[in-house]
Amino acid sequence: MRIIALLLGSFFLLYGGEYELRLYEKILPILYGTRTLKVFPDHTTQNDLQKSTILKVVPNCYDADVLIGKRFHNLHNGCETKPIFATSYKSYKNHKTVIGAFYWRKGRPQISFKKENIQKFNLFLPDSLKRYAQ
Amino acid sequence: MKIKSLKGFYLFTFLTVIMAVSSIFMYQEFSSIRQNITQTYIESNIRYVRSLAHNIEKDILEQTGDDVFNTLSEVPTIREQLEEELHLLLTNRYKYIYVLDRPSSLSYRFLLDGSRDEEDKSEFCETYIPLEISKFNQVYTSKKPLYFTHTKIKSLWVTYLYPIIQNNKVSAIIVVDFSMKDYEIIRDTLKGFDEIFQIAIFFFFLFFVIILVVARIDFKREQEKERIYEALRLKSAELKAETQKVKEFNKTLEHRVAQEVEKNRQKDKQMLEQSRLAQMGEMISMIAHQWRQPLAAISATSSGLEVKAKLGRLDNKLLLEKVQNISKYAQHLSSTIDDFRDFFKSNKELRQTSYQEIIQSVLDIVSVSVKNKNIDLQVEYQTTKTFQTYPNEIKQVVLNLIKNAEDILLEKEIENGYIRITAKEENGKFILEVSDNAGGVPKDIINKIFDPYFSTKLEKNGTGLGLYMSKTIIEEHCNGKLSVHNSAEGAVFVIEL
Repeated sequence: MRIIALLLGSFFLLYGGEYELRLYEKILPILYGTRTLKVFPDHTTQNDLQKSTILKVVPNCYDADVLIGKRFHNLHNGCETKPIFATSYKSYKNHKTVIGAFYWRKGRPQISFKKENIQKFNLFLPDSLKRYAQ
Repeated sequence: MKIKSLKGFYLFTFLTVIMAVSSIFMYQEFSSIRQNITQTYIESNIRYVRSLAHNIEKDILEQTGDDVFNTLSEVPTIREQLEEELHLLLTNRYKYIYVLDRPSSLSYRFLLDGSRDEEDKSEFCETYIPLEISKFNQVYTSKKPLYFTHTKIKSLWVTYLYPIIQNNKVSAIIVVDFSMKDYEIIRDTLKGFDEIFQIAIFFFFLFFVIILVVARIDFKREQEKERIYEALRLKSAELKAETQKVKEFNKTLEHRVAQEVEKNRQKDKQMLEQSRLAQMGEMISMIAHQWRQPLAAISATSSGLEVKAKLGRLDNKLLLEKVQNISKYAQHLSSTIDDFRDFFKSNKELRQTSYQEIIQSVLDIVSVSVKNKNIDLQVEYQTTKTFQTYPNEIKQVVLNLIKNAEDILLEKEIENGYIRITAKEENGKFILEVSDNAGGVPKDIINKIFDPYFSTKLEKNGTGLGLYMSKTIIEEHCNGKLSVHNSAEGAVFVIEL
């Protein structure tokens, strides 16, 4: 817990507005067990994710390993079953395929993982993050 | 170091130390005051927030009764009403007011949230994991309120945690995030003063150190100055004494110079006399040679006359003839005396003459003596031109050179020895060379032979003045030059006029 708190705090201090991207780059490859990932952003995360060298933005959600954002309505062509990493509490609660979320609450960063979907998508949740699983 | 500057320096150093120590005391006093101000300010703020939280607690407990969670969970209207009340308390000073409880030791959940921001508004029972969860847990454990500032997230200010205690257990925590902007202004101002004090103290100490260093350098410099001054004073005294001596010496200098000049003159005179005596000794020897033949002739003639007279065979004609012969011999002797007298006549008259005249005059005196010693005397005149000079002086020099050549030829017992006298003119100068075949002057003494009292004629008791006087006569009286060099056969003395 303390490590994650420090991690979050350090990211915030070091990278300012871009620290969400660094967090995605740190956590998602661990979950998927790969060095790089293909991601599909929504309009709120597109700009940040374009800057990543680890997370490769794909134009078609079907090709993505994970969708990152807070608004994914009218997903089709099989995308509706793709895992989502939410960037708000609402989307974390509402999407069925959410594997986790990162959002702000009362000025503090919050991170959560949905245990059920993590297992469903055969993802790996390390011990240090298990306490955030619900 | 001067007493006055020393006193000034000590006073200055003392004042600097006093100022530095005073600054430290002032700084300590200021630190204490600063601590009191900030502490008092924080405590007054915290007291206010505590009373606010206490009122919220009272309100919640009044409306929820003994079971806060269940009441809020089951009666949404109470929850909405309480959240409305929390919302009313939000101002610029109080940013977030919310109530949490702890379902497990690892996470918390929202019970009430005063926020109306759609993005930030939490749901009832929404999981919440604060960054400073240990502080939250500490409140659950200690059951006492606490506050802390955020170091990890700058957008947050100060968080106050107030426990709601029911049945001696913490049932929830009221969280108030409030601004400490005023405190920060005061703190920053005081910090500014603090920094000014620190800088002032630093500069005082720096100044003090500089003063010490400068004083040390100055002290050394003063010591050096004092040492130099003392040395100069001693030197000055010495110089004064020397100057006095020089003054006294100058007073007698003229007299001493005159004395020395007179001494030198007497010395020169003495040397000249010695030289003349030596020459005269040689002259006597030469006169003896000149006289030997006429005297022998006179003796033989008179003896012949005596024998003839004893035998009675002396007639007037023979007597007259023999007496005339004796008279001729006597005249020759007289002529010889005249020659020598003229030679030594002290006639320093500048007149027109030639080397031929000079050499002939000298040969009249020495030729007999030289030839009697089986030395070939060769004379070569390449010029017969006349020139202005002191003939008698030159004659003495030539005579001296011939006699020296004769002496060395005899000393070295040179067979077929010769003395060659050559008169010539080169580049407008009249040159007379006197050379021999005696082997020349040894190289180690060739530069000393013109020095006074230098002689190699130990056996013949040479005075060592002949060549010295010759050089003096030629170079100082006649404005010429007398030099010597060695040829293949012997020494060559050259007179240039």
